[in-house]
Amino acid sequence: MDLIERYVSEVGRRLPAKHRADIEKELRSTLLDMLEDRRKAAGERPADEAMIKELLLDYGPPARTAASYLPERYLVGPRLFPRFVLVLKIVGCVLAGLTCVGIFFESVRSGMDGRESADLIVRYMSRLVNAAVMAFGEITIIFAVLDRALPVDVQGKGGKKGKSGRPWTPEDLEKTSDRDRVGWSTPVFGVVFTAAWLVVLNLHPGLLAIWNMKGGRWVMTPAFFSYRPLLNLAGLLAIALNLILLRQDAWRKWTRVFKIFIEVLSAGIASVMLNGPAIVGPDPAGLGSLPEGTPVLDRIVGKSADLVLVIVIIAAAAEIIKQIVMLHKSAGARRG
Amino acid sequence: MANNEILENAVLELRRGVITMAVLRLLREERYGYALLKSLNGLGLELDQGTLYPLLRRLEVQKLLESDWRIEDSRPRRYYRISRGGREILTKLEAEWLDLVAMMDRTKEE
Repeated sequence: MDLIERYVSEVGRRLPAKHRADIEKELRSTLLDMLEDRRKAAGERPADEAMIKELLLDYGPPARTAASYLPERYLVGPRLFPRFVLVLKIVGCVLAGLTCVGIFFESVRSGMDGRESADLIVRYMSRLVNAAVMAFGEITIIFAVLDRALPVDVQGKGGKKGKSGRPWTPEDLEKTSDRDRVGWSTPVFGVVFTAAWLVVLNLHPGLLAIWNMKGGRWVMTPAFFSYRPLLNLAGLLAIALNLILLRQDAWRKWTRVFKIFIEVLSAGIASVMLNGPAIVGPDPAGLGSLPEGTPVLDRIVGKSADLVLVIVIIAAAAEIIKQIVMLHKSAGARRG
Repeated sequence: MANNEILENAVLELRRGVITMAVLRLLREERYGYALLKSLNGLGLELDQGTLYPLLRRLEVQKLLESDWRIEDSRPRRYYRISRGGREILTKLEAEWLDLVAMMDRTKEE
């Protein structure tokens, strides 16, 4: 009987305290009833240790018995799991992208030979693995907390709510035309590259440089970095918009307006930069090593920077026009 | 997956669908857990204790069953019986069951 008590105790310690005593009592009673049946089936033979062990073996391991009383538990439940996987993919792409960029810039800047390049790749790969493990752990903890903290309706466990949280109706189907659909790849790449840009802008500004083959280089000037807060704002707004588009799968009126606002902001920043002091200039630390013909190169680099800003303004204007046209068409489709 | 395994899983799913109704029906007469298990196995609904006991607890939480502890042969036993709410649900389940059987008969003719 001691074996039965130990079995009951092993099951009980895996159960929540609230139900433990009750389940243990019933389990003990059932096992004793089963043992009694086996004893009778064996010709009223007294129950011995071998009989008890056979009974417990048939009943199953304590962990499995305890698990049968417990509801299925997840670290990240089925409703949040797809988003959890999506976030992991995005972060994975960002880390991989940053690693490749880091390897590229460091190898070009340092002019490494084959062996040094191999060491560089190994070093960056090791950093990538560490960063990936940490990111995975942090994202898992965040989603595990969200899974328990978010109310059930927000997670859509009732299955009756649309993506915006209000009850789904067939009208939701009519509102989304093909022109409004957003695939997953555009917002994902938008998030990845914008995040990479913000990381470089804020944490590795030295990578924003243009090298010539003879050793000199041009860097972003202090005037450029004075626009950093605005550039960060535009970047963060772009990331937010892309995350919203990922969640909603389609453009809505307000997301198109949000996009227009971001493009106006980007064009505005580019315009101010264009009319302000030069944003690219020779590296003050490397002045002594610039080759002959540098003033010509300086002008070419300066004009190139202006050209990039003009392209940014034109692209922003084109995107603004496109979004206004789409707004007009979508409004027309809804009225029709 | 071999056909035998597919069949076994399909049969398991089919039986799982009727366990609740079978338990509620048998508990129109009160029984303790192990006696109910033996009755079900005797009727051909092979069930293990890992399925039955959690089900009984769940049905009690849902107020479809009632239970109380009694001492018999100096051993405590928990006796279960169907509640009023359980009888209402059982009536509806039995009507659904008849509908399902009729539906399956119709699919044979299709």
